[in-house]
Amino acid sequence: VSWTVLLGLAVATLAVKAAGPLLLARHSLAPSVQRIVQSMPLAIYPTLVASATMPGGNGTGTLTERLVPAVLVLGLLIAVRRRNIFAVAMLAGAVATALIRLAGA
Amino acid sequence: MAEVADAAVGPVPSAGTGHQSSASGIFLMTAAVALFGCAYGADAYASGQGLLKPVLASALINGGASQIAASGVLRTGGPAVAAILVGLALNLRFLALGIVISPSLPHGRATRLLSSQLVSDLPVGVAIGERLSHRWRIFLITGALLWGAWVGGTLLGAAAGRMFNVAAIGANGAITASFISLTVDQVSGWRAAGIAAVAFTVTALLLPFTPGAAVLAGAAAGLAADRLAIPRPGEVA
Repeated sequence: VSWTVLLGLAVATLAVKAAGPLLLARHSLAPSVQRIVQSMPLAIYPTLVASATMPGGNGTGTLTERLVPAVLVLGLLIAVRRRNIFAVAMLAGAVATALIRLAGA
Repeated sequence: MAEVADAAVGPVPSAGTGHQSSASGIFLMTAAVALFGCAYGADAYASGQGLLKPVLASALINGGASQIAASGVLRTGGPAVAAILVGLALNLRFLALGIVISPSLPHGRATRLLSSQLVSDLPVGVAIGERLSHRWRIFLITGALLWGAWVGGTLLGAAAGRMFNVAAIGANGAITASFISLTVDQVSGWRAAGIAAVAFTVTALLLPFTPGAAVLAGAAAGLAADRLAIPRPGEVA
């Protein structure tokens, strides 16, 4: 990140976090706005997965090295269907990536 | 308001069920956040950001996905404005979380301003699973612990990246995995899966042509799909 982006994002994020407790303590957001805010994570996280794994994105290493661990982790998460395995999923992703790299695929 | 809270803390692993505010639950969370921080710090160092920038970003922004996304946009050649917008779009959910925790914070503007900076997916998720009288304390403890783990993890990862090649231990694979878990946590049913698929596909299709705008366009397509798709009966909209 450049300093512009770092400071710009920091100031914007600090403002977003403070807005609720400081300004909106006695009001709630309009339902239509609430809905959009609620949907944002669902719309955003998949785009980050895409840019980390697909050609042209910001992922490093070969396509195999990016895609195979991603598919494995997704399979693991769907198969286990428990929500507290964040750490396990990350370890699995790291191990799979390291192994594929080691194998030179 | 409870509904807003549940939806807003969607990316949190099983947030709001109350029981994970046990000491072991918070310990596991702290460990996961520290690990995520390590992966981010290592990855940031490997991409030439040095040690100070990622650590400062973690301390001030305290929003992992947005920090990684912003540097991702820059790395793929996007302009600074796009990087800030993508990061900010990811952090807009903190607005909802700030509103959720707001009634539990003590009066006094300075205290409220300072504690609002601990607002993040997990601390709010844990706190709202507690009785009203305990929320402030639990929010403060969890928030401070996880902030420390995130910043400390970033420092550790960046320092480790200085000593050896972290790509060899799959740091980027861990980050991708964290995005996949966050996505899966958001997906409850076929409708949500469809929206996620739209966001993913649009991004993937645009990446080779306009990498800087691909993430924004993908997210916009996901939001549009969310507005257009009619929720099925019994499915969470």
